[in-house]
Amino acid sequence: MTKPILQVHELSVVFETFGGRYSALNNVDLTVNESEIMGLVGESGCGKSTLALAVMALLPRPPARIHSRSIMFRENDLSLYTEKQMEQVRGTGISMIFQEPLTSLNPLFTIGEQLSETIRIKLQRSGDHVGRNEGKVRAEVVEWLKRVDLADPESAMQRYPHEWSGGMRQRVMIAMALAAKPGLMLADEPTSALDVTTQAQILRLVKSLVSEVRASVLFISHDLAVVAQIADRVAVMYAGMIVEEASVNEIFENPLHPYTQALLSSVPKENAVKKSRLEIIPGSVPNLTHIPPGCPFQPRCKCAMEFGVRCSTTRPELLEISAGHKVACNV
Amino acid sequence: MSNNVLLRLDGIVKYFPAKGSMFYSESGVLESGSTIHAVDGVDLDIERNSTLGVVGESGCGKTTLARTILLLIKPTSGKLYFEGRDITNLSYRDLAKIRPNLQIIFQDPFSSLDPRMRAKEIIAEPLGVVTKNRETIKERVRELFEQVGLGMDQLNRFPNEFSGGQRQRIAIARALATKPKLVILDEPTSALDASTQAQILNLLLDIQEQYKMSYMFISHNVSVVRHMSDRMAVMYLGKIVEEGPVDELMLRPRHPYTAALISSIPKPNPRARGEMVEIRGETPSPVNPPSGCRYHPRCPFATKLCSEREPQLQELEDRHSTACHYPLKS
Repeated sequence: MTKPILQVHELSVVFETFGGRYSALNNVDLTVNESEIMGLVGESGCGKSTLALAVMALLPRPPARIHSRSIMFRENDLSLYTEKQMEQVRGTGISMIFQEPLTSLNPLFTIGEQLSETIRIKLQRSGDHVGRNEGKVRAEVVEWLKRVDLADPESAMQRYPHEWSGGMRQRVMIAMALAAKPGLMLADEPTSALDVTTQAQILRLVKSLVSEVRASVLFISHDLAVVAQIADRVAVMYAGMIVEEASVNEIFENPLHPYTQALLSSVPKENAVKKSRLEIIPGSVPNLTHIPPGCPFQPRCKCAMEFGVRCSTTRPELLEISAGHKVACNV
Repeated sequence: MSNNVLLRLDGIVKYFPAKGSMFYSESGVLESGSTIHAVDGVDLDIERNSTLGVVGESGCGKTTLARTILLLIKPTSGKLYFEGRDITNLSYRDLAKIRPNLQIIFQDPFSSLDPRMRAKEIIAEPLGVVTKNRETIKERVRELFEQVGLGMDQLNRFPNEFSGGQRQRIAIARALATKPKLVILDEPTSALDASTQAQILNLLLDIQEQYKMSYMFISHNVSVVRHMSDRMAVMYLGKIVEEGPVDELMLRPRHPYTAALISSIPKPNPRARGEMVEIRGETPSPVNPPSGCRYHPRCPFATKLCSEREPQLQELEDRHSTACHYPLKS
């Protein structure tokens, strides 16, 4: 019933810098199923964005070095693809939206020109002859601007990105990412730069459009609450590793990894006593040039104290504890 | 004026000139002489030893309000009373005597600390205003360093050697140096990760208890403000639309904007989906704010009256006020 659309096997990414070998991802396994919104959460620097960029083959090499057993998208192994072949996948196969829409839109072209490029490419790849289809392209641009709830699409097409607010730009990005009907959309913190009321609008929009075009989404965010609202399944990352993965209800109601538990209790709760002290995670995220041997969370973990030696020597594997719930923890 | 009021804002207004825009407006006239209504008539009291939270979306004037309170920028009109004394038009010299009581912590600890000063110098700088005794300063710096949870071995380091959370600790130590009566916290944890944010919030709570001072906690993050504050004010396009005790305001919002803002906060509970109420459209520009109630173009309950007459902030029940012609039922 659930068919995987993206399967990442043992993906590692190392950045060779003057400061040393910076291991951003460490043997990551991740599956996104068809028509599913997969949430990926973690703090800054844990490797969330690197994972998305590695899948899209957008990491500059060098300094990045990528090793993986395979990156399966549908039936094809993307890790074997050449740059030319990858170009065919981007946009129509896998698309991506970023946190700051102003930097990902070209300031020199109107919204209409940028959106029609995507649509033209889609038509081209599906074998349509573009030359005769300018009217069709235009009609589809208007159609998509309407779909992302932009008022007056005809005049909106003529405008440049700077004339728009952050929320409107992100709507255009979503239209561009979905216009070519990709199988998978990678959304890297798409609402983190927006206000809460705009964020609520964008989240609803993503949800309804994605189910309309039947795309899957890898939704990357540092905000657990946002992921709780949108994802079907959630993976939690820490220091370049996935430490827990489960359905969204499982993660929030029955978190098993101490890091997930700590992360959940570090945000102020609605029903908490006002001005009560929040639960904190002592210390800070390890430097990725020197990840401690054993479990990466061990120096900050409250359970590791009891089990001691094992946590500091053995790196835990991501194991399935109950149906669909995977945890990487020795305890 | 009740003795419990530390700082009173009376009709504070701050307009900025919108300087000749690079582009011509649609009518072909160069846009000039227009003003940005950043803060437009704000009345607020900050009480002793308590926290006033100020929430609102970007561009609503929160930060301008903070800078006006510190008189870093002069208000266009309105008065500021500190401990009952009008400080709006004090001379620079007289103001310098008040300033140790008013401090601020900014959002971005990467740009608010001088990269060429050592941590101990950053913290010692404001102390120079209060005392010239080197030994006293040195001792106080060490004391502050310990209070904010930094190690003595880090005294001589430069800001770039610290993480974001540690830098925010330095900024806190510097703000505390002169034992202020009011600290304005302008998005103090917005640049930090969840686990670091919790550490800083706890530190701020500990310090407030110890120093018995007031906070004005400005943030777009309503959950954080709720946790930290006693009273809360909601800003929309330069105006306070609602003000009251925090729980009262969160549970029984009376202004439609407050209600919508609260309901659009994502809850960390996947079973509470679909409870979000959306606000239509976008926040209008503060250059030409809408007539009457500024929220009326987006408000589901707006009538003709709302577009014609501006509602004033009125007390509806015990110390809970809202500026709406048709306040929601409590």
